[in-house]
Formats: sequence, structure tokens, C-alpha cells
Amino acid sequence: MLKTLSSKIALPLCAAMFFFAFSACQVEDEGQFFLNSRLEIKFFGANREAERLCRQEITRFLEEFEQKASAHLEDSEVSKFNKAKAGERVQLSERVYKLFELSMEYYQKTGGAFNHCLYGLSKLWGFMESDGIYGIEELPSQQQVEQLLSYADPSLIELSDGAAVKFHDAVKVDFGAVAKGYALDVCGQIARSYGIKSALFNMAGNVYAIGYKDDGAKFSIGITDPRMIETGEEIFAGVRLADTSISVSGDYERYFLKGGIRYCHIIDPFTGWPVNTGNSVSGIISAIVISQNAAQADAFSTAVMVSGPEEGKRLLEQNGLCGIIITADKKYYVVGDVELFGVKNYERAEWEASFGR
Amino acid sequence: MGSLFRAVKESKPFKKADLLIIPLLMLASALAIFLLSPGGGSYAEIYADGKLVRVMPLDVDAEFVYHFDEGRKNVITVKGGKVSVSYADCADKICTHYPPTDRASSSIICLPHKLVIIVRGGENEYDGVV
Repeated sequence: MLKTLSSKIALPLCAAMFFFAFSACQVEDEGQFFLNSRLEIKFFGANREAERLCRQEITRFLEEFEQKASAHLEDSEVSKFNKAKAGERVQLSERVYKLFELSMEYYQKTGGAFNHCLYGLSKLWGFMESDGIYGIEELPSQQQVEQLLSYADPSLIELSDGAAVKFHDAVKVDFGAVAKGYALDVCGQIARSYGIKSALFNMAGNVYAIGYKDDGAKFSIGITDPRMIETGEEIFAGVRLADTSISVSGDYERYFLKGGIRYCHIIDPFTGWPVNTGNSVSGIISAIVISQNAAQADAFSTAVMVSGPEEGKRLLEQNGLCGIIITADKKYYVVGDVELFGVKNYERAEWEASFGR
Repeated sequence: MGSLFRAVKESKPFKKADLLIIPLLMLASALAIFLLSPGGGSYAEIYADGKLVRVMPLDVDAEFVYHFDEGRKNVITVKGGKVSVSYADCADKICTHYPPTDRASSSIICLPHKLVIIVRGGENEYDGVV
């Protein structure tokens, strides 16, 4: 009796314990950078083999996508377009063509608050350095800004048959405000094709959630406190969500200070100045948008950040999106149905009270 | 050949020695779990350009100097159970603004130096941070 018991239980138990011991110490390479951002993937299911293959395919896709879509890389399709002369047809791969198309759609839907033709201005303001070091010695003149602003116009690009043509040499694109979201949409498609039912993808301010957690609950996503240096808190608040994506645009991660003024990487396409500097006073320090479509969430978070609370709210409502808007006076506004919890250090503002018109 | 075959065939599946080996194996497994897993405490993983360069347990106060090129560096400090970047000579120093953290999955990033610090183990009420 004892013998059969040992052979039936003890050996498998030993094997399981050994397996657990070694699997527990597995270190995953989580420090990968794509599109100048860190990608974090979390799977909540149990199919390790599918997850491994999925992770491989996602890495392959992102490497290839970055080679084509990055404005930082000399040989990318985007750089070819940026270097092209007016009237020259630049043949694009399917995904980059899709970026041009989507960006045009979001440009129109946001009334120009999202604009993918800001490469020249971003460079002028010192945000196109591929080494991630931002800043400029001297601020540009208003004349320099206005000159570049006149070519920051997506209607100067024509798309047809998988190619893009510009009407002026100086038209240059940068998909920094939509490419990460779009990439996450593709990552989601890849994961679903491997039968993955529960996962989180996180890429610098964009989270894409597949399904619910393994226990059927919604995911809890923490939103970075845009003024953590003042509040000493990492997290502004949490949001519960499932099977959707969330994107944040803020002035707190890619910026430089000059003369006590914060110049952030988000350029106002109407003034050519970084948001909240010069004549561009939106008052928003962080804009959070929730959408089924990560590319849309990404683009709209930038558009809201540029637009200010009132116009930002209108943009979200017009497009059936919800979100949160955090302003420089440490207040926050909620648009639509957001499951927000645990707000610290910020005061909720009501729309009517602050915009009583 | 024939005798070996017979010996194998006649051998019983379990002998007294086996009964000794099994608890020994279990003990070894338990020990392996204890030694190989990072323990109950949290730790910080330091990645430089995608490569894991250091693991720092958060229950031991310590400092790790990461040398980027041309003498540039980040000082990563573990103090009172939390990790932070206490010094950086990168252009923006945004990594030093991040408050000391022990929150699982929290990441402190220094973009100019392609440095990522991720907290593992311990508790985090959030599944992801955006």
C-alpha cells in the first residue's frame, strides 16, 4: 500500500516541485525597446507554448515595423517620404500606408488637433533626437515656427495605390502620436490569432487589454501621476477596464525645462509651440483616452492634450470615447463612463461649474 | 544479456532505498524552490539596453552605479525597501523624479541611457501602469 502510494504520488509531486522551482526563477527579457519605448507583455492564461510563439511573432513584427515606420531611422519608409521631393511617389508597405490613412482620418475627426505633419516643428523644438536627449540651446524665433507651421498640413499629402506624394518638399511626417497605438492593435490581433484570451500589452503610455483577467475580473490600470515630483506619488488613480485600450498623453515624460518653463514633446499644431507654452495654453497636463482601438486612443489623447478641457471633452463625446483630463491646477475632469478609483492629490472638477456658459 | 534481462524483469518496482530517496528528492525540491526563487522579498531588475545587468533585493540597502558611455552614469539606490535613481547625469534627469518605489511591476525609465528598472515580487494593486 505504502509502495503504490509513493510511486503514484511522490514521484509526480517531486517532478512538479522541481518544475516549479525552475520555472519560478525564469527571467524574461522585459527591457526591450521599440519605437523608443519599452514594451511589456503580460499573459494571464495557461498556454505557455502559444504565449512563447506569440511573443516571438510580436517581437518580429515590432522590429520590422520600427524599421519602416520610425522617423529616426535613415532608411525607413517614413524617412524616405520625409526626404522626398514634391511630386515624387514614395511606395509604402501596407502597414505604413495604413498609418498615413489612419492619421488622415484622425486629423479630420479632431479638427486638426491631431496632426502627423509636425516632424519639422518637433525637430525645431529639439524632440527628434534619436538618443532620447531632448532640448535646445536657444528657443526658435516665431518666424522659424511660422515657416514650418505652414507645411504642417496633411492636406499637402496625397495617398493612392499604396504610395504617398507630397505637394511641397518641406512636408514631413512623424507618427509618434499614433504608431505605438497602431502597433498595439496589431499586437492584439497577433495574440488573438494564437488563441490568447487574457493579456495586457503596455507600451509607453498605451495599454491594450485582451479580455478579462484569469479570474474574470476587470484589469486595474494605474494612471501615472503627472506631477509625481510634487506629490511624491507614482499613481494619480486607477481605472478598471477589460477588452479595450487606454492611452495617456502628458507633459511629464518627454520634456525639457528652460527659464523655468516646461517645453513638452507635444506640439500644438495650431500655434507650432509645445503645448502650454507661447500662445498654446490648453491647461491640460495629462489626457487619458479609452477606446476599443488603441491607435484611436493614442491619437485622441494627443488631440485632447492640445485642445484643452472643454474642446477635448467635445472631441471625445463626438467620437463616442471616454476619458479623463488632468489640468495644471491639479483638478481632473471625467468624460463618459470611466470606472475610476483611488484618486489622490487631485480634486474632481465638474463641467458646468468650470465652464458655465 | 539474458541474465540482465532477467534481473530487470525480476526487480521489484520499489525497494527500501527508494522510500528513502523519495523524501530526499522532495526535500531537495523544496530547497531548490527556496534557493532559486527570489524569496518572499521584492527585488529590482536593472536592464541596460534590453539586457538584465543587475538584480537588487529591496530588503538590503545598496547602491549600484550604472556606467553609460563617455563617463555618464545613473546611481540606483535601494533604501528602506524602495528603489530609486538617486543620481543621473543624463540630459533630462526625469528618472530621478520618480519617487522611491516598491510597487511590483513599477518601472523607472531613463530614456537617454536606455535604462529600465523594474520592481518584481511584492504587491501591486494595478495590473499595469499607463
